[in-house]
Amino acid sequence: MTLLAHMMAVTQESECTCEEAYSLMDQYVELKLQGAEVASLMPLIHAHFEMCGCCRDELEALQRILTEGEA
Amino acid sequence: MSTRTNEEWLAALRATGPDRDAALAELRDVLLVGLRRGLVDWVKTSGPEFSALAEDFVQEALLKVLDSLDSFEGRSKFTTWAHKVAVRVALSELRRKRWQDRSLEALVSAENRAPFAVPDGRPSPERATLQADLIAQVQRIIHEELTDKQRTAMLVVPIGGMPLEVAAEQMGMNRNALYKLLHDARKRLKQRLEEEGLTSDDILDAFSR
Repeated sequence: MTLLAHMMAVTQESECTCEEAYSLMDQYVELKLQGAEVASLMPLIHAHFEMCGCCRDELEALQRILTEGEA
Repeated sequence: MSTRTNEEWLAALRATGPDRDAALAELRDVLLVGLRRGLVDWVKTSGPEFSALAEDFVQEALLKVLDSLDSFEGRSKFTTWAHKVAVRVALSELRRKRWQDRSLEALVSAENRAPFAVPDGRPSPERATLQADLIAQVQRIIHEELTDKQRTAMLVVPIGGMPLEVAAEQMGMNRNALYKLLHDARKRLKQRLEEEGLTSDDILDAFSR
């Protein structure tokens, strides 16, 4: 029940799709690693990563690649 | 570290002959190193098994990169964009392998009751009654508001933990379409809960320890 409640709490009227999040993932991760406030700059994309486990996994893997070495 | 600019990458990969071969070889190396770092949470990244696996992922990623050069808009480093492609290729395959023995049907039946299980602990009689009433109310709303497909998706993905991509494949949909289906389901539930005077906070309050 709490999981359902959390899901309802973060549900927005308009959310971007996996495809839209994917298209901006590289830009999002570079901005994030530069210290930018990505939640404010790209709120819909940020919210998608909070909600979608598959996209979040990919974001985290990409972030690790860029964090631990030069791209 | 690559010293090529985005424009140099694009020019070399669009060229023919030795320039293109050299760029492809360099990009292959960049992606292989990247996957070794990026997949540490998914597979054992040392040893010959990983090298073979990563080589397959990178070869597929290189084909996709070459096929979609025109879609690169230069909003990031070219190599970041290429790493993104390689990560998508690798995780799609790794998810498929990880979940290959789990069917949608089994997960639906296993998870059917999970979200409505009585929580652990010893709530007061008043609190237990409140929780039971809320569970019944939410179950009724889910039954009344969601289509069979939406119910299945809710049980399998956010509750059952099956990756969206794997569930989409088993449901004969693409990942985007399943995300939209789930989004519609969440919106309908949220709206109906609100119409009945129930907010997310009410539920969280009732079930918090």
